Amino acid sequence: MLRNRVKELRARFSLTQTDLAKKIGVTRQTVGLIEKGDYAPSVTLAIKMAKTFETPIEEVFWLD
Amino acid sequence: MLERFIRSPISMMLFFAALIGVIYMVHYQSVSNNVESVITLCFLILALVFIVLILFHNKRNPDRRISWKSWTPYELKEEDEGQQWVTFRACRKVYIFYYFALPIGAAVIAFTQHVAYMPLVVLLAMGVIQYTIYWLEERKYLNQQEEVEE
Repeated sequence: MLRNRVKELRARFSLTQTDLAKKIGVTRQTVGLIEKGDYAPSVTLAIKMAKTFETPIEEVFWLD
Repeated sequence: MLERFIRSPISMMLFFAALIGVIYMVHYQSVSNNVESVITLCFLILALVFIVLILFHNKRNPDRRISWKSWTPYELKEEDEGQQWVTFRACRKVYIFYYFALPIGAAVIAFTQHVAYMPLVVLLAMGVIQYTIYWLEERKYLNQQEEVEE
């Protein structure tokens, strides 16, 4: 199962779901789906998120 | 809000149910020509209101226009990959529903030949269930409240 630290990193960068969604070019609902682990994002989107958080991708997403 | 209404599966379901109602009244009920005209006129007004709402929405939101040319139903949300995934999940459930509903519906129509309007009832039931399944699935994923930073 794909786990993530998106919520934690978003809080660290003081971003709302809407802020993050705008930065990576998706809807707020998609950020919510990813945070909850309902939806595993595409590689492209995962890279965009990691870049936004200035963090290596494997520290944002990992397999459990 | 307006876009939500236009793109809602529930709006489409009500529109579909109204259409079935009009066909039933005009085709299976022996109503006078006047009543038939009034019912048809009411339905056409409903359709016109819907068109005006889309025009109004397109004028107010030029960047989120609802296309007239597209054959894709308005309720399918495909703005980004997350929405496409939700649409896939919802459509999959609707497909599974039809997998069972079509043979059952055919059997119901075959065994109730004495009820002339039964095909309409079966179509209405299938339509209402289809839109409800789609709406519930979409709601499950897309109606989350925003979680602000902590």
